[in-house]
Amino acid sequence: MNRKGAITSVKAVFNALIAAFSVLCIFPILWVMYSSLKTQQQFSVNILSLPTSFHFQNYVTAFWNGKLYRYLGNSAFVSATSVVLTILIGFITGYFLSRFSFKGRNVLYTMFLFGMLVPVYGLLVPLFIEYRNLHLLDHRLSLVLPEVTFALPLVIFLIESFMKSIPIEMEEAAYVDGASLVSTLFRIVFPMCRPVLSTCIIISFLNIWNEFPFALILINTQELKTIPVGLTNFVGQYTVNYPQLMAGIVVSILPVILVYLLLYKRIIQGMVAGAVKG
Amino acid sequence: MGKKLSTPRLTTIYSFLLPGILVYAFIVFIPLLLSIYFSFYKWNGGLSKDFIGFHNYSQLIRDAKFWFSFRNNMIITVLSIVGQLGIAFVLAVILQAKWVRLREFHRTVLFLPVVLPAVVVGFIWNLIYSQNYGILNGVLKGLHLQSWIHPWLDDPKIVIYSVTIPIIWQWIGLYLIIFMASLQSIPSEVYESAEMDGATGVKKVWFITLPMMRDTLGVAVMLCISGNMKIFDNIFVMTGGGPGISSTVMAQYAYNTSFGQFKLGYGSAISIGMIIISLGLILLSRRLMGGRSVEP
Amino acid sequence: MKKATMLMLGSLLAMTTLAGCGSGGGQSASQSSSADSAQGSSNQTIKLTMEDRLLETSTDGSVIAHRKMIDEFKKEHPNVEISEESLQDATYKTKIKTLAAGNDLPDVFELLGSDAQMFAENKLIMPLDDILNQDPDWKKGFIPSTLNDFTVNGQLTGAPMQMLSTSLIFYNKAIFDKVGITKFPSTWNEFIAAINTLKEKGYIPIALGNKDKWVAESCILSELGDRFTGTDWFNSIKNHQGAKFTDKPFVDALAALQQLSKIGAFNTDVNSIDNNQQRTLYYNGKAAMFFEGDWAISSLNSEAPQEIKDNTHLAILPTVEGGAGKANVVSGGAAWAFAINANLKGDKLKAAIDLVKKLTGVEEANVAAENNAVAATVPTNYDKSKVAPLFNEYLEMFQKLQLSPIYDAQLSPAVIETMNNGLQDLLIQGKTPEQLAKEIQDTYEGA
Repeated sequence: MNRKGAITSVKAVFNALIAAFSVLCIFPILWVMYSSLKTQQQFSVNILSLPTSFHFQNYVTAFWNGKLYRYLGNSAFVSATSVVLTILIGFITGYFLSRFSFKGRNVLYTMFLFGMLVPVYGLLVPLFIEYRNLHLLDHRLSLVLPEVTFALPLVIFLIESFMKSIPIEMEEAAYVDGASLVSTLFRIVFPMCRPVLSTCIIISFLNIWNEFPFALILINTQELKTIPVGLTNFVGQYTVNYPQLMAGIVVSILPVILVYLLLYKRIIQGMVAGAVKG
Repeated sequence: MGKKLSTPRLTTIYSFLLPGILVYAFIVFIPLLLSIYFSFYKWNGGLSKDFIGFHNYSQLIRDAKFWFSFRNNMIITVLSIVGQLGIAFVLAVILQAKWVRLREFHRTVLFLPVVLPAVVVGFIWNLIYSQNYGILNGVLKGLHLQSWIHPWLDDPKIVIYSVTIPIIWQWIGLYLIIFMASLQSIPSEVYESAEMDGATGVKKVWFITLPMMRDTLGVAVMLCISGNMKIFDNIFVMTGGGPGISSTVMAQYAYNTSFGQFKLGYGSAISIGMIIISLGLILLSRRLMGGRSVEP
Repeated sequence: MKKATMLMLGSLLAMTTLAGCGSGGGQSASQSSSADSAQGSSNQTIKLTMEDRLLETSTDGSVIAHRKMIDEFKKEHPNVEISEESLQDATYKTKIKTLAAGNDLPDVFELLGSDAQMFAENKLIMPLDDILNQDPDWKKGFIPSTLNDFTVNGQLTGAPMQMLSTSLIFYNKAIFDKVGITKFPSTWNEFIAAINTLKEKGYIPIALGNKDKWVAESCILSELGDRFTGTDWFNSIKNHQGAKFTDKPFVDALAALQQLSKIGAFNTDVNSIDNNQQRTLYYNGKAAMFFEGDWAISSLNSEAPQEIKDNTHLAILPTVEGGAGKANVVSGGAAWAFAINANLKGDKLKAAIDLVKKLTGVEEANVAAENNAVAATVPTNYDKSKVAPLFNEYLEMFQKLQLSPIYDAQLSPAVIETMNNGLQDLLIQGKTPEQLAKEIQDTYEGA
């Protein structure tokens, strides 16, 4: 085989490998989706087969009897609020940590990164006690603070390193023109960060949407439950209706997938424009 | 006029940073201090606690189960650094090439597992590994590779490896995005001048790409270590730490101790021990990689 | 710089608003269990908080009966508002322990037998002896052994909510007939012989799904152990009167369990499938038997193909030569009970008692029976035609049986954890019976 042929076959092999990988990534999700349309009997007979008829009843049961509509609403509220706060606080913090060196800067930086090391279950009991003593349990906003806290480190991180790729000249010019710190921050720097912000939004959104331990412990009333906790309702002690569970799973991952697809273009644009720089 | 942006007053800076600091103090530091406090006691959850000083910690150091779970975490972490980062890096490089078909499709799809909650990943892979109904064994049988069939989640010797694979599967997409972004920022002139000097293919990657991505790689390693040291949900759903303790990780051990055996004092000590070890590992990795210093 | 100050004030304001929102607005179901002593008039709304595992989507007969009782209670007591949270089993256990640790338990909640001692010693629950004595009809309705299950240091810690036999053998008579076994084995040796025969003919003799770790212990060992050790040994363990896990009979029981795994009685993935999936193997006709409790009767009824249902019958473990245990014994007990928070007083306490009474009274027992479940109270009047044939078979069998303790409903959580983890190892020959016995004994002594 001549050199050109060899290169072509190498390319073909690589293409095939990547394709196989992609299939490996997407097939399980598709499987959950089409399995959710089977009945329990159909599923236990053959796990892999395609459904012969579409059993939408699973979705109806999951949505209405399983009260998923309520949990969806709660998750949406908590996630939206938390993401907004996370981006806001993360952006400001990342900016300052990146641009300036000041007393205590290194300590702060390390402190925020430290948050990535903490095992959540280790803090459950202390956090619960703290919340209980301050009567903060069972409120619409109870979950917001913990969600924000654990999503912050990564956002601060990404923003801080992104800042390095933005030339200082723009901000200096603004100051020369007499702009204040705040207006420079939000009117000039913020828009320039759009590429990395999309990444930050999607990552913090999915972490918050899927969060389980705090949602379990800090909320006691059915009305305020979020989706991850609500999903466990489909796992009985002695029986599991798998297709129904899968219908619940599909309902719970659909929003995140949608947000991802919406922001995907932005993330790609950002990368083309020279986004997160090492 | 100097090149550096003039630094605002300290009070200004801190007033901006205050919300983040307060939130952190409230959610992380106070509970952490409480946790440290609990770790000095023998406490079974009721109203009475017994002060025992460092006894929990001395017990922890001698606790074979704890160190075994640490070994499990290390296996997962090392395999993940190679698997998640390694594969993501290779994919990122390949996906840049123009001759790859359906680039958009691949890029979109490879990130999908990242959006799944860990329990769903565990659930899916449980069914993949299932002996009688699983896809894996089904495929192996179809390829007449029956001898390769193992009790994936039952054999204590291989279960830790079996549970690592879903973890790698789930997170490759995240590192892929981070690496792809970093790659884009390497100016093409660097490559062009290298090509003029005769560098091709792998050499380009080794001598140019890798060094220019060093900081990003450092970040990725740190994310990987911190994430895998405290990993819990995936394994909990798949094996619950079993059979026995063969797939128990430190976070699972802490959970079993606190919520299973209701030894909350010792459980707190385990959590604190985990944090200290993770911190040590990260500092070590930074030293080894000569990574980016903490200063701006 | 003025802007900066404004921003700082602004952020502080935001934080205080958040905190303020929390303390002011979080009244709906705040778990403060301090009594409202000012509650004089009875037309004031009484608010009760409750945590349970009574999922509305469950098909478990016991859960269905309890949910019905809650609905009826709400109709009968319009002035009582119940703020209830229902969780799945494992999630519930995490939550209730966190609430206990934070001293924030709800007014009424489900208590697991093995936690009863700990909760009682920490004074988290109200002893029910006097309360029960004040209502003799209610007290009489209970199956006596269920009350014993929840008596700790002479005090009743909760009102038992169900009566479970955990160690029943469900077997497919058609398969047995096919391989030539006409009568279910009554001695251990016959049992082993039967397993060998089934295996030769290509069946999985016993489907076992021990992923969640309690199945082997609750559904096999609790009864197998008793065959070897007898119930006196267990009571001695429970009351710390000198029996040890390293005593020969218990080690022999562990060895017998391991023997089953050695001769290939189980499927190869015992530790990675759960109790639901073990049934699937049975429904597909691949397995000849499975071990589970009477809750599986209603599951079988709704899940299995008709052919399997028609051929399924119940049995219990055969006797063991030289064993101290009796033959007609099955492991069983109350397992879970409804407990009342120790801090309740006045009208709130009365409402809580009424709720618990409703949940564990005769009415509940009747509804449970119609749903193929056994309550802790004896049913007096139910529609027998609604009941699955297998359930009737069970009730008949049950008349002749005595109960031995379920290990994980009676022993301390630490011991159970060591035992459950170790059993997974035992089943794959990762540990010897002697090693496991010693481990359990060490935990038992250390606790």
